[in-house]
Amino acid sequence: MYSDRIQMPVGNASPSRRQARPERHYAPDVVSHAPLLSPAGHVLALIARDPDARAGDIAATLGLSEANVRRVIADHLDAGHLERRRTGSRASLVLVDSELARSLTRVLATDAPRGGGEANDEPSRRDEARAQLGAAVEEFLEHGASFAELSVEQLIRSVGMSRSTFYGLFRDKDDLLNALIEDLMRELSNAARRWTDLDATLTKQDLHLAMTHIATVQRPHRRLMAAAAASPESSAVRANYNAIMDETRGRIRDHITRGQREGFVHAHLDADRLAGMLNWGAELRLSQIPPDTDDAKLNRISESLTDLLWNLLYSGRPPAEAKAP
Amino acid sequence: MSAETSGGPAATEEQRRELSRVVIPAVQRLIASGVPFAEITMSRLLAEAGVTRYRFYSRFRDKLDLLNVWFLELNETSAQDHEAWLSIDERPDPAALRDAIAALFVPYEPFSTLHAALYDAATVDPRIAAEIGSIESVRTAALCAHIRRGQRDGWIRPAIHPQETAEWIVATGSRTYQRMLVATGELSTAEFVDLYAEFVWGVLYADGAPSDGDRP
Repeated sequence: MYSDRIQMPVGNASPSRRQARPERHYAPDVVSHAPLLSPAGHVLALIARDPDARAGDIAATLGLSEANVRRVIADHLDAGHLERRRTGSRASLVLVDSELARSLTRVLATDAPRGGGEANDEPSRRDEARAQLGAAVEEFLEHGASFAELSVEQLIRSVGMSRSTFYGLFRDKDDLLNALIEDLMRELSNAARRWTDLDATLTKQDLHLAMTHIATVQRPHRRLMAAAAASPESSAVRANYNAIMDETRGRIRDHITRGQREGFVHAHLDADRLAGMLNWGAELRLSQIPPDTDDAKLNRISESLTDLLWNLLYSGRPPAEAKAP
Repeated sequence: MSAETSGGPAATEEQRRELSRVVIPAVQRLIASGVPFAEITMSRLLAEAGVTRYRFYSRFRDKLDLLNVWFLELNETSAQDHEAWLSIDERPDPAALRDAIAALFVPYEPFSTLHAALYDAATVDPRIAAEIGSIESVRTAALCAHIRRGQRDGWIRPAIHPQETAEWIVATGSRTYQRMLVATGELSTAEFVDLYAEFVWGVLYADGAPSDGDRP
């Protein structure tokens, strides 16, 4: 199987993705920046980035024959790594192996240099544009537009940006969404550290402050979260999103494990699974908060989360009988 | 169900359900044979189910509509199964709670692939997303009533917000089921039930907690 030959760099896929977002069409020399991939790996990677890519374009990008590319696709369809999906009249290929999709996205994001040289020189301008466009996107979504219907034209008109500026910074609309979601997820993930960095001295008050901070960071962004949650299972947006969710889950797990070792978290709890559950539960519940939620209501939400965590993890309930069979 | 989501004007909910009981097993057979839901063509589905095109479209708008009818019916069954948990009127022991929660989720077990198809569909079809949302709000209301009763009678933690806590519990169960069981297969149904029962027990019922006094 081809996938056996795709070598993933283990543990070094550090997420410097923000600075390194690859272009849609790879110049031949760009390919050499991801030297760990076999040709089949490159084909899959391009499909992971762009499910609508055609075999001919992929072949041209990689300098392979179209027949070769078709063979790789056929093999991976057979092996169940890829699936053909149809949306309206558009057929696309989807990488169904999400583990593989995530790794490939990371490899490419880490290795391929960003296009649009101007953007590299002026990160602050890019950040500013991103903030502007982000606010515009959320405004449109809050007024009932779906991300799929939004056009780049609408967006840049609403913030007074030129097409060339936009395309100098982002490959396309999905690339923008990906960047916005990554920003938000990073912010939330950092907010969660106010909780997970707490140690044996933690009080309910500390916990409440941390939860209020997380809820406050989330409050303006429900539509953006919904757009992320609605992105197809093996898209680049989803791979990125899941990777950051996994990171946060890991921190929650480590916090629970440390607490169990040091005796401030109930010893019988399954740290890893519970971390997964709390992480996904919080993702859904927080993304239901409307942006116009007032502080009193937001406080009730964070207070109930505080109670929930306190009772579940830290408070002195009798551990032996508490264990479900 | 709203008028716009129903099939032909003449189709009653009962007629739709009747036909869905014929066609859904055909969908399951096709999925079991390796065809993803999104790739099942109408002609293949109709042949497998032995149903004419005319009959199908007099009942359902399309494949997704069919899925929706199935889901609503499944959830009515599950609402009855909810009784096992929410009609409890004293502090359950953890094993009894686990059984009650198992009764809630085990009926879904044979349908995990259809479930996955439905959650996928919800990402592109706002009506299905709304359907799932309204089912969850019914669950939240029932759980909220349960919490109030337990607090009144002294077997649920007195200091927690009934509504907010119910929302957290429902969201956590629903999202965890969707992500850790349906989407990634990380948990089996039994493992999910263990985890969720442990969670609910700790959040609502566990006693001997000297902690309720030191709210922030």
